[in-house]
Amino acid sequence: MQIWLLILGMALITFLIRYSLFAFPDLRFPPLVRQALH
Amino acid sequence: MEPVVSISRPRSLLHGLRDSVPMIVGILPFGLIYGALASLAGLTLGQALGMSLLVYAGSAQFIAISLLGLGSGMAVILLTTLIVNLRHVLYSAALQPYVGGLGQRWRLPLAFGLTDETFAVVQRRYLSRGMRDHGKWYHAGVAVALYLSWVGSSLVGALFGQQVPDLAGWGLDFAMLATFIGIVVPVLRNWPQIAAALVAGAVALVCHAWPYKLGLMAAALSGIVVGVCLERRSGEGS
Repeated sequence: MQIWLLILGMALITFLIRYSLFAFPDLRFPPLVRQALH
Repeated sequence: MEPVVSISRPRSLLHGLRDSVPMIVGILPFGLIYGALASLAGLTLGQALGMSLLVYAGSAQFIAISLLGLGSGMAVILLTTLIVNLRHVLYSAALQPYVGGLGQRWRLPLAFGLTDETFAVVQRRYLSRGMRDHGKWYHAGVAVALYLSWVGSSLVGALFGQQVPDLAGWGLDFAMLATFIGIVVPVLRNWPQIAAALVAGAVALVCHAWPYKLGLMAAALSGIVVGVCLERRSGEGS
Protein backbone atom coordinates (compact mmCIF):
# COMPACT_ATOMS: atom_id res chain seq x y z
CA MET A 1 0.00 0.00 0.00
CA GLN A 2 2.78 2.36 1.05
CA ILE A 3 4.69 1.66 -2.19
CA TRP A 4 1.61 2.32 -4.31
CA LEU A 5 1.03 5.63 -2.55
CA LEU A 6 4.65 6.49 -3.24
CA ILE A 7 4.25 5.57 -6.92
CA LEU A 8 1.12 7.70 -7.23
CA GLY A 9 2.84 10.63 -5.48
CA MET A 10 5.86 10.37 -7.78
CA ALA A 11 3.58 10.13 -10.81
CA LEU A 12 1.65 13.23 -9.76
CA ILE A 13 4.77 15.30 -9.09
CA THR A 14 6.42 14.25 -12.36
CA PHE A 15 3.30 14.97 -14.40
CA LEU A 16 2.72 18.39 -12.80
CA ILE A 17 6.30 19.44 -13.56
CA ARG A 18 6.04 18.31 -17.17
CA TYR A 19 2.64 19.90 -17.67
CA SER A 20 3.59 23.12 -15.85
CA LEU A 21 4.07 25.35 -18.87
CA PHE A 22 1.79 23.43 -21.24
CA ALA A 23 -1.01 24.54 -18.94
CA PHE A 24 -0.79 28.13 -20.21
CA PRO A 25 -1.67 28.19 -23.91
CA ASP A 26 -1.50 31.98 -24.12
CA LEU A 27 1.85 32.30 -22.41
CA ARG A 28 4.41 34.17 -24.54
CA PHE A 29 8.01 34.40 -23.40
CA PRO A 30 10.11 37.54 -23.86
CA PRO A 31 12.66 37.33 -26.72
CA LEU A 32 15.60 36.74 -24.39
CA VAL A 33 13.93 33.72 -22.78
CA ARG A 34 12.93 32.37 -26.20
CA GLN A 35 16.53 32.70 -27.34
CA ALA A 36 17.76 30.95 -24.19
CA LEU A 37 15.37 28.04 -24.65
CA HIS A 38 16.44 27.43 -28.23
CA MET B 1 12.39 25.98 -55.32
CA GLU B 2 11.57 22.93 -53.28
CA PRO B 3 8.03 21.62 -53.84
CA VAL B 4 5.71 21.73 -50.83
CA VAL B 5 4.93 18.16 -49.86
CA SER B 6 2.30 17.55 -47.24
CA ILE B 7 2.28 14.23 -45.44
CA SER B 8 -0.63 12.44 -43.83
CA ARG B 9 -1.20 12.01 -40.09
CA PRO B 10 -0.34 8.29 -40.04
CA ARG B 11 2.85 8.97 -41.99
CA SER B 12 3.84 11.72 -39.56
CA LEU B 13 3.15 9.31 -36.68
CA LEU B 14 5.33 6.70 -38.39
CA HIS B 15 8.12 9.24 -38.88
CA GLY B 16 7.99 9.85 -35.13
CA LEU B 17 8.26 6.12 -34.47
CA ARG B 18 11.15 5.84 -36.94
CA ASP B 19 13.11 8.78 -35.52
CA SER B 20 12.78 7.29 -32.02
CA VAL B 21 14.78 4.18 -32.91
CA PRO B 22 18.22 5.57 -31.90
CA MET B 23 16.76 6.56 -28.53
CA ILE B 24 15.12 3.18 -28.07
CA VAL B 25 18.55 1.57 -28.44
CA GLY B 26 19.63 3.65 -25.45
CA ILE B 27 16.45 3.13 -23.43
CA LEU B 28 16.29 -0.67 -23.59
CA PRO B 29 19.38 -1.38 -21.43
CA PHE B 30 18.29 1.27 -18.95
CA GLY B 31 14.85 -0.29 -18.63
CA LEU B 32 16.34 -3.75 -18.16
CA ILE B 33 18.63 -2.51 -15.41
CA TYR B 34 15.79 -0.60 -13.74
CA GLY B 35 13.53 -3.67 -13.75
CA ALA B 36 16.28 -5.86 -12.30
CA LEU B 37 17.19 -3.36 -9.58
CA ALA B 38 13.55 -2.76 -8.70
CA SER B 39 12.93 -6.42 -8.04
CA LEU B 40 16.21 -6.66 -6.12
CA ALA B 41 15.01 -3.74 -3.97
CA GLY B 42 11.95 -5.79 -3.02
CA LEU B 43 9.31 -4.32 -5.33
CA THR B 44 6.79 -6.81 -6.66
CA LEU B 45 6.47 -7.25 -10.41
CA GLY B 46 3.29 -5.14 -10.34
CA GLN B 47 4.95 -2.35 -8.38
CA ALA B 48 8.09 -2.30 -10.55
CA LEU B 49 5.97 -2.19 -13.69
CA GLY B 50 3.45 0.21 -12.15
CA MET B 51 6.22 2.70 -11.43
CA SER B 52 7.31 2.63 -15.07
CA LEU B 53 3.71 2.83 -16.32
CA LEU B 54 2.64 5.69 -14.06
CA VAL B 55 5.77 7.68 -13.18
CA TYR B 56 7.69 7.16 -16.44
CA ALA B 57 10.81 9.01 -15.30
CA GLY B 58 13.95 6.86 -15.42
CA SER B 59 16.28 8.94 -13.24
CA ALA B 60 13.66 9.48 -10.55
CA GLN B 61 12.76 5.76 -10.60
CA PHE B 62 16.40 4.69 -10.19
CA ILE B 63 16.89 7.08 -7.29
CA ALA B 64 13.58 6.06 -5.70
CA ILE B 65 14.48 2.38 -5.62
CA SER B 66 17.93 3.08 -4.22
CA LEU B 67 16.36 5.30 -1.51
CA LEU B 68 13.81 2.57 -0.79
CA GLY B 69 16.70 0.15 -0.35
CA LEU B 70 18.27 2.55 2.14
CA GLY B 71 15.00 2.71 4.07
CA SER B 72 14.26 6.38 3.29
CA GLY B 73 10.79 7.73 4.03
CA MET B 74 8.14 8.67 1.49
CA ALA B 75 8.59 12.42 1.99
CA VAL B 76 12.31 12.22 1.17
CA ILE B 77 11.65 10.20 -1.98
CA LEU B 78 8.89 12.55 -3.16
CA LEU B 79 11.06 15.61 -2.55
CA THR B 80 13.90 13.95 -4.42
CA THR B 81 11.53 13.18 -7.33
CA LEU B 82 10.59 16.86 -7.43
CA ILE B 83 14.19 18.04 -7.54
CA VAL B 84 15.44 15.39 -9.97
CA ASN B 85 12.62 16.18 -12.40
CA LEU B 86 12.99 19.96 -12.22
CA ARG B 87 14.87 19.94 -15.52
CA HIS B 88 11.60 19.00 -17.21
CA VAL B 89 10.39 22.56 -16.58
CA LEU B 90 12.99 23.65 -19.13
CA TYR B 91 11.65 21.11 -21.64
CA SER B 92 8.09 22.19 -20.96
CA ALA B 93 9.08 25.83 -21.52
CA ALA B 94 11.00 25.07 -24.72
CA LEU B 95 8.10 23.12 -26.27
CA GLN B 96 5.35 25.40 -24.97
CA PRO B 97 5.33 27.64 -28.08
CA TYR B 98 4.39 24.55 -30.16
CA VAL B 99 2.39 22.37 -27.79
CA GLY B 100 0.77 25.25 -25.90
CA GLY B 101 -1.54 25.96 -28.83
CA LEU B 102 -3.00 22.44 -28.87
CA GLY B 103 -6.18 21.39 -27.12
CA GLN B 104 -6.18 19.89 -23.64
CA ARG B 105 -6.65 16.35 -24.96
CA TRP B 106 -3.29 16.65 -26.73
CA ARG B 107 -1.41 18.64 -24.11
CA LEU B 108 -2.15 16.20 -21.28
CA PRO B 109 -0.76 13.04 -22.90
CA LEU B 110 2.14 14.89 -24.55
CA ALA B 111 3.10 16.31 -21.13
CA PHE B 112 2.97 12.82 -19.61
CA GLY B 113 5.43 11.60 -22.25
CA LEU B 114 7.87 14.52 -21.93
CA THR B 115 11.13 12.76 -21.04
CA ASP B 116 14.75 13.68 -21.85
CA GLU B 117 14.68 11.39 -24.85
CA THR B 118 11.31 12.61 -26.18
CA PHE B 119 12.49 16.19 -25.87
CA ALA B 120 15.73 15.46 -27.72
CA VAL B 121 13.85 14.00 -30.69
CA VAL B 122 10.86 16.35 -30.97
CA GLN B 123 12.79 19.56 -30.30
CA ARG B 124 14.82 19.03 -33.49
CA ARG B 125 11.64 18.46 -35.49
CA TYR B 126 9.88 21.53 -34.07
CA LEU B 127 12.91 23.75 -34.69
CA SER B 128 13.17 22.71 -38.32
CA ARG B 129 9.48 22.43 -39.28
CA GLY B 130 7.35 23.78 -36.45
CA MET B 131 3.86 22.28 -36.35
CA ARG B 132 3.73 21.78 -40.13
CA ASP B 133 2.93 18.34 -41.51
CA HIS B 134 1.00 17.21 -38.43
CA GLY B 135 3.74 17.97 -35.92
CA LYS B 136 1.56 16.79 -33.05
CA TRP B 137 1.20 13.36 -34.65
CA TYR B 138 4.96 13.15 -35.05
CA HIS B 139 5.32 14.08 -31.36
CA ALA B 140 2.74 11.43 -30.44
CA GLY B 141 4.64 8.80 -32.45
CA VAL B 142 7.86 9.59 -30.58
CA ALA B 143 6.12 9.61 -27.20
CA VAL B 144 4.35 6.28 -27.77
CA ALA B 145 7.48 4.53 -29.10
CA LEU B 146 9.65 5.65 -26.20
CA TYR B 147 6.98 4.94 -23.58
CA LEU B 148 6.42 1.40 -24.84
CA SER B 149 10.16 0.72 -24.95
CA TRP B 150 10.62 1.93 -21.38
CA VAL B 151 7.67 -0.04 -20.03
CA GLY B 152 8.51 -3.15 -22.05
CA SER B 153 12.18 -3.20 -21.05
CA SER B 154 11.27 -2.55 -17.40
CA LEU B 155 8.95 -5.55 -17.53
CA VAL B 156 11.61 -7.82 -19.04
CA GLY B 157 14.16 -6.55 -16.51
CA ALA B 158 11.81 -7.18 -13.59
CA LEU B 159 10.96 -10.66 -14.88
CA PHE B 160 14.40 -11.92 -15.87
CA GLY B 161 16.98 -9.33 -14.75
CA GLN B 162 17.82 -11.14 -11.54
CA GLN B 163 18.92 -14.19 -13.51
CA VAL B 164 21.72 -12.14 -15.12
CA PRO B 165 24.57 -11.68 -12.66
CA ASP B 166 25.57 -8.04 -12.00
CA LEU B 167 23.53 -6.63 -14.90
CA ALA B 168 24.07 -3.07 -13.68
CA GLY B 169 27.83 -3.55 -13.85
CA TRP B 170 27.94 -4.41 -17.55
CA GLY B 171 28.17 -0.78 -18.61
CA LEU B 172 25.00 -1.06 -20.71
CA ASP B 173 24.03 2.44 -19.63
CA PHE B 174 26.72 3.77 -21.97
CA ALA B 175 24.29 3.15 -24.84
CA MET B 176 22.23 6.11 -23.65
CA LEU B 177 25.26 8.41 -23.44
CA ALA B 178 26.35 7.43 -26.94
CA THR B 179 22.83 8.09 -28.26
CA PHE B 180 22.69 11.56 -26.73
CA ILE B 181 26.15 12.43 -28.06
CA GLY B 182 25.04 11.27 -31.50
CA ILE B 183 21.99 13.52 -31.32
CA VAL B 184 23.59 16.64 -29.88
CA VAL B 185 26.82 16.86 -31.89
CA PRO B 186 25.28 17.08 -35.40
CA VAL B 187 23.02 19.99 -34.38
CA LEU B 188 25.88 22.17 -33.16
CA ARG B 189 26.27 24.53 -36.09
CA ASN B 190 27.87 27.71 -34.79
CA TRP B 191 30.31 28.89 -32.17
CA PRO B 192 27.73 29.93 -29.49
CA GLN B 193 26.11 26.49 -29.71
CA ILE B 194 29.45 24.68 -29.51
CA ALA B 195 30.57 26.83 -26.58
CA ALA B 196 27.25 26.26 -24.80
CA ALA B 197 27.62 22.48 -25.20
CA LEU B 198 31.25 22.53 -24.04
CA VAL B 199 30.48 24.65 -20.98
CA ALA B 200 27.43 22.55 -20.10
CA GLY B 201 29.51 19.38 -20.44
CA ALA B 202 32.29 20.77 -18.27
CA VAL B 203 29.89 21.97 -15.57
CA ALA B 204 28.10 18.61 -15.63
CA LEU B 205 31.44 16.87 -15.00
CA VAL B 206 32.51 19.27 -12.25
CA CYS B 207 29.10 19.09 -10.54
CA HIS B 208 28.62 15.37 -11.08
CA ALA B 209 28.75 14.64 -7.36
CA TRP B 210 26.03 17.17 -6.47
CA PRO B 211 22.99 15.54 -4.88
CA TYR B 212 19.63 15.06 -6.60
CA LYS B 213 21.23 15.41 -10.06
CA LEU B 214 21.31 19.17 -9.46
CA GLY B 215 24.54 19.22 -11.46
CA LEU B 216 22.40 18.65 -14.56
CA MET B 217 20.36 21.79 -13.86
CA ALA B 218 23.55 23.76 -13.20
CA ALA B 219 25.03 22.46 -16.46
CA ALA B 220 21.91 23.33 -18.47
CA LEU B 221 21.68 26.82 -17.02
CA SER B 222 25.42 27.48 -17.52
CA GLY B 223 25.19 26.35 -21.14
CA ILE B 224 22.13 28.56 -21.71
CA VAL B 225 23.83 31.64 -20.24
CA VAL B 226 27.02 31.14 -22.25
CA GLY B 227 25.12 30.40 -25.46
CA VAL B 228 22.88 33.45 -25.14
CA CYS B 229 25.76 35.79 -24.21
CA LEU B 230 27.90 34.65 -27.15
CA GLU B 231 24.98 34.76 -29.57
CA ARG B 232 24.11 38.31 -28.51
CA ARG B 233 27.76 39.35 -28.83
CA SER B 234 28.08 37.86 -32.29
CA GLY B 235 24.75 39.53 -33.21
CA GLU B 236 26.09 42.91 -32.08
CA GLY B 237 29.37 42.35 -33.93
CA SER B 238 27.76 41.53 -37.28
